[in-house]
Amino acid sequence: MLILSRKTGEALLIDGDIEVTVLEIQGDRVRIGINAPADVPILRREIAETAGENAEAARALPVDELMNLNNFMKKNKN
Amino acid sequence: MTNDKYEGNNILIFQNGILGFEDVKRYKLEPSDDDSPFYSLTAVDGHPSFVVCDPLWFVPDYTIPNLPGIDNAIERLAADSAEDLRCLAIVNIPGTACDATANLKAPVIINIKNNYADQFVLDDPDLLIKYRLFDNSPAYENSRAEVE
Repeated sequence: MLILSRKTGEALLIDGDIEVTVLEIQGDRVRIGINAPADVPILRREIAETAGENAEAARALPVDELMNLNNFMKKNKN
Repeated sequence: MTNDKYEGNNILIFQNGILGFEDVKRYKLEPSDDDSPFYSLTAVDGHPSFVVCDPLWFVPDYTIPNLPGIDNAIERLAADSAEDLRCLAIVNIPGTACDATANLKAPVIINIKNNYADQFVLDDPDLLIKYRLFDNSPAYENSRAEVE
């Protein structure tokens, strides 16, 4: 991983036209401004991860799976 | 009390959709059994469908007041207070039931007064997107050897 130090107000450029600026630092929180072409997707990582997890979790009507889960719970109780 | 078992059996309105399924706004929540933490959450028009669970059965301190940023949920769901909110976690079942995981990082939070719901990504790096439901719960400690 490339690691750089930046102060408030300083920026860096990625691939010439993506500009990431440190706007404010407060405790363990950093406010970041990003200028990028409209076709560059930008997502907080946890949002993208959750969307991916939801895609994995989505299914057809889960009747059998619910039955399996409930049977598993009952069988293993105590 | 925020710990009351949620009855389910409602049409829920997700104004923002569910992450990755932003266009689907209306879901039906149905309990799977009388004494079960699991529900089905199915789009009114049939797709997608999710298994969701009441996380309190597995993680007793995962209560609404303990969740970080809950004020944001109160506001976004137009709730009067945290007491109107209930929480469910989306379950992923990669193989058999014993491998089921729940997304504790991004719970579905419901306002039981108006049936508005939303998925909130919580600001806590320790919460797991894939929390294994049947590994840590005391009720299942004895069953692990049997399953493995």
